Amino acid sequence: MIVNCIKSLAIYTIFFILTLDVNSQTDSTFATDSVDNIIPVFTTTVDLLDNELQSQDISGLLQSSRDVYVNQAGFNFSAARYRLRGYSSENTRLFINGIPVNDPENGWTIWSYWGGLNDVTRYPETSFGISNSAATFGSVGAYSFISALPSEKKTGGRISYASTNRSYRNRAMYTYNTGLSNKGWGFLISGSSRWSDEGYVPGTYYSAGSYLLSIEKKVNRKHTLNLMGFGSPTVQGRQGIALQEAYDLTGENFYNPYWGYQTQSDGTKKKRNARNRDNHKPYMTLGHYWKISDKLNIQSNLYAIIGRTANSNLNWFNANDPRPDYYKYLPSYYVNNQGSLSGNQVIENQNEYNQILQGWQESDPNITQLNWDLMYNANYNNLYTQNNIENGTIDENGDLVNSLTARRSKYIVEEYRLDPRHYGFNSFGKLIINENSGLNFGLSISNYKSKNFRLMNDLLGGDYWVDIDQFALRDFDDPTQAQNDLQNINNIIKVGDIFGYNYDIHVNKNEVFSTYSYNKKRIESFIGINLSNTTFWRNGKMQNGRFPNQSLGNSEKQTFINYGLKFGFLYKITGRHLLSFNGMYKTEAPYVRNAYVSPRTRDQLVPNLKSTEIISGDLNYNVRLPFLKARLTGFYTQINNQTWARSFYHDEYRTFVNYMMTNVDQLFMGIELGFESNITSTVQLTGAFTIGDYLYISRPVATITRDNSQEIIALDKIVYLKNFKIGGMPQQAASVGLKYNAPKYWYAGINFNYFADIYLSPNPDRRTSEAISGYADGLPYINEIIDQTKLNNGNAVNLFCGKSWKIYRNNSYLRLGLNINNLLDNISFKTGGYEQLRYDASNIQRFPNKYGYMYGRTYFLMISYLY
Amino acid sequence: MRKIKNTIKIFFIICLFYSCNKTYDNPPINEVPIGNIISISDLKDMFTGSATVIDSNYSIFGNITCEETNGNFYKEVFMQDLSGAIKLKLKASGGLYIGDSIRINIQGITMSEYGELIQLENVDVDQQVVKIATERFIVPYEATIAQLSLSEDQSRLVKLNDVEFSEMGMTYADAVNLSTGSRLLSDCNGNTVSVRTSGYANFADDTLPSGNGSIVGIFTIYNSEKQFVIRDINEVMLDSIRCNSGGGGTGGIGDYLYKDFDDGSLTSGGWKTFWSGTNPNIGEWEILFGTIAKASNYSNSSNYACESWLVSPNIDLSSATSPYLVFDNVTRYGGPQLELYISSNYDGVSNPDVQGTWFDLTNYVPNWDTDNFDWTLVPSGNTDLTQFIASSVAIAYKYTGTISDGATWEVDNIRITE
Repeated sequence: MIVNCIKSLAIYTIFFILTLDVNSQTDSTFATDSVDNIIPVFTTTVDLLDNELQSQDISGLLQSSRDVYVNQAGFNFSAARYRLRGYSSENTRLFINGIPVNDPENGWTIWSYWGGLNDVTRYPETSFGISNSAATFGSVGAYSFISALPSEKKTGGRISYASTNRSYRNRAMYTYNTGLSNKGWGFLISGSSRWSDEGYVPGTYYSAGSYLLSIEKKVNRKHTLNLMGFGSPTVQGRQGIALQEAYDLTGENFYNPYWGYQTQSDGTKKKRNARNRDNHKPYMTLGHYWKISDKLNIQSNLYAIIGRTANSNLNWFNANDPRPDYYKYLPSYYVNNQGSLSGNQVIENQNEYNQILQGWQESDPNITQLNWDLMYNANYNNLYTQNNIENGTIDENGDLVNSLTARRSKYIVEEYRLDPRHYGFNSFGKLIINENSGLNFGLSISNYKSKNFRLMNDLLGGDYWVDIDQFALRDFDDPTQAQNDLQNINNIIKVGDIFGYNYDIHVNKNEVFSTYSYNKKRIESFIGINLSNTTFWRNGKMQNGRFPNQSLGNSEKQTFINYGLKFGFLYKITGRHLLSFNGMYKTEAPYVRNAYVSPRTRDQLVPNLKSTEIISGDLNYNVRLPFLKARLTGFYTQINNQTWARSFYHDEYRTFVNYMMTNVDQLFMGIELGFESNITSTVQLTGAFTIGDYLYISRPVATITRDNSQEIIALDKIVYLKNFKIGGMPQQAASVGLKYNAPKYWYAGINFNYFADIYLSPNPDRRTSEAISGYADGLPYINEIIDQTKLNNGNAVNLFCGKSWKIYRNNSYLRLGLNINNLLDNISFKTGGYEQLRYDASNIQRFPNKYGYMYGRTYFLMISYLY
Repeated sequence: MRKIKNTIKIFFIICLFYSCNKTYDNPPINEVPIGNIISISDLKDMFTGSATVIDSNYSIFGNITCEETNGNFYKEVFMQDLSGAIKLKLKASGGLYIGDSIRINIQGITMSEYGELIQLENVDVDQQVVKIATERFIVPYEATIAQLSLSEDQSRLVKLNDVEFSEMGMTYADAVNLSTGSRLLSDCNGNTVSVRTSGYANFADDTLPSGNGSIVGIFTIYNSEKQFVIRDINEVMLDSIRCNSGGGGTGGIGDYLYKDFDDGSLTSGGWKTFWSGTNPNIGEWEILFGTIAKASNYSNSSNYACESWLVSPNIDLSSATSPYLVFDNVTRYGGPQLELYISSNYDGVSNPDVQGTWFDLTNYVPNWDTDNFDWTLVPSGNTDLTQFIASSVAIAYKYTGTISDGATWEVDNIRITE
């Protein structure tokens, strides 16, 4: 199927290129995109463990900046999962044509929802740190406003084709902007296709489209209307990161446990990925631009974001764990009684050990990958009679029956859905008070709901699944407690049915802000304030057998009132030397994603839920000389009272637990330096350096509950996280680049990048006194449990070059560009990973860390035609 | 015209995307060969006494008589045909349920024995078993304990009538430490079987029923010992009048509490230990020789301060008239006296230091051992518990050691009876 699809795309592409009105030679190579998806799509930090839904990705935002520091950092540092000033994505604010696109549930901006629309998103208005932003009060990270108005974009067309070897291999893109016609109409269209049958990492694939249509009508001198819609339907097979043991045994740092072979009807074996992402989130907006007078203009938008995000995964019932890298299937499990790697190595079952070791070393797909054929055959054979089906089911004769005898699947592919329904209105404008002062103001009303449920995607050769919880079945002798849906006892699930959980999350937020600015010859200053009101609640659609009174219907609404203050002061020592200082204090409602103990089963709130508090300041020195542009910044930010909630299997308690930490305080401080220097008229030297110190500055308090019952396992457990580093990114990074701009319209450049101080996020439970209580003071095991893992420093060299031709006949351009990332093919640089939350204090090596590596040498070759 | 052309291009790109979802064919079915059909009894007759791989292409047919759902069986089920029954040890947990009518191709499977119980090892349900039908339930064989034959009836689904548990007040198994419980079941003639229950069973923590009646389960053996495994707690129907009631008998059967540590566990039967002290684990109650409870604070030529409790489960004495406690004890090396306490409001889980009103019985015990330089356990004599009759009573031994001093104490055969 995919092969056919690619063939037809290829044929179409050739046709596409042949229709171009150019006499350039068509190149049979394709180009990939260097601007998005440099970051591997695995989830790498402990923070993302159960946020399977998306990984954070704001690299696209950073790369399109014109700031001397940020545009280098964004491009060159993203391979090492750099985060601007250490902030995670919820501290940025992004608007597309006026729509706020931060996710109301977790605050993130996820670039892939508009991936492939690079032609439109390429040049946003962006500022970093605390700034006088036009559309919102903002936060401490970046603020970015992408316009898609035909009248504000360059007119003409752009066709490009790219070939690469990253997450996708091919990209075709087309954009055309009519500009504004005499009658006041403007049209901007953009579309693209990105695909690969297999990406850089084995078993991954990519298939994505994108579209954007923006229609502008200038009604008269005062009023302009804009109607816009865009989206990027994306289907993707994902990469999982693995234990070092698996990398070492297979000799492959991009080993991916998520795929396996499935035999087809013609006897061939086809790679199949179990973890697929299938997203499509269309954004629609109706905008009104009102120029009331020369001194006052207001933009208002009505918007809707209605879509689907789906992530698939395997599940199983009364069957063996099918994941090839499950700890019991690794050779180390056979050493020293279940995986202790310290001391004398005693292998208990030598034969089995040898067999498994050999399988791993030879990368035998039956050992190292999923075995779909076995899963299907287990399902084919599992004849089972399910009785007492309360609401009945349709049997093969089409009759409604209460007892079904058929093949009950042991293994399935299920889909986690999070379907947003987001409607909102916002309005913001600017009033020019006088020559020196102005006022920005705005209000925003947002009404958000997400539909969360689990869907049966594939029964893998079986006929049905029963909606009961396997763990509860074993833990409780009352069988109704194992029912996931008490109103559908023994519910029979077939493909397309909802099961397991089903609830809505509502977040309503209203916000007003205003910023007063005062500028004089040598001074630019602003002071701003905002006020917001956030209400969230859960609405359960399924009555869970473990929590019959807490799972169905609307929960209590949680309301938070928050405010913020900011100011900025810039002093021009001369026009070429600028000094500025910005500060912010704000509170933010906790994100709903962290507010519930286990939203899939119940509406129990995390105890002591409080607003987050942000205190931040930065001091900047800007130089704008003819031969040197530079910025030096020092920043200091505290983000306090954060909440952290996860669910995982706890070895000591021998059960799935919900682990919640409150009172998590973090500090981000450091220095940034960026410069661009024209050494000669053709040679430019660039540099970007950051020295950061990002750490925890409090001892959070943890509450642990059993996932299956009301039982509180631990209350107010102190987590000794103070002075642990925040993991998942380099705290120090440096980039130095040299670029040659030839007079004959070609350029070439090289960048050297160095990354240091990358830590793994600490597993909080390993930093408690309980975790080490089994050991007397001074035993080395204690440090093994407590110490934070620091990854080795790494480097990457990037090369880029390009040339453009002007075609005078019709005043168009042809451009060719090539990027080579990680030129030296450094494949031993670990850029991230996580400590497993499951751990065994008596044998810490049993559930070792997982790591991900930076991609080796990759290229991106693009040819584009502009007319 | 040109715009139309461009729009068509865009349309194509978008449409192409939607045809790119991956699809897969179902893999072929792995057929399980039939070969020659053999009965379970004939198969067992082929057992030579040592583990052997079956190299002929044989299939056995039969019905499943137990399942793993409640946790009492793990990676094992029993299968029965008209000729006999056999234990299947499974390669992986799950997939076979009571009433499944199945065929197994046994070529390549190892037949072995464990305590003379014949079993098939490492059966792969997904690859070697064919399910023919479900809900073909076998009617249990009704027999008396004496009638059960170690060889003919082993692994068979059996129903015993007119039986009762000998040890009252105990649970089926130790659900806290997840260790297996072995509880004596007897008929009125004194014939017994051991009811073996996994600590993982979801009824492990249930108290043994005190009545007489019928019970259904799998009859197993361990060498010459007759054993019995419950497959469904709803098939235990012991709610009639006990054999000896009204007879006033005071034999072993009438014990309210009995703990001999012979199963090597301090905590089986709902017993608990609590410890606090300066050096990890030193002074904790431990098992000596696999059969005796012992506490000592002496290690590496030093004494360490500690306080260490051994606490019984709560037992019901409300039907007793003149219960008494008796146990064996021995001490050596000088140190604080072992103390004995009793409580009627203990919650059954907490540290007795902080919960429960505990009455000190130490001075009411007729015969504490004194240090006479030997290790012979001496009987304590009967300590009368009549004034402590209540529906929930627990006793506790408290061992104390100091940094400068500490004895070794051993206790065994703790019994409350009348």
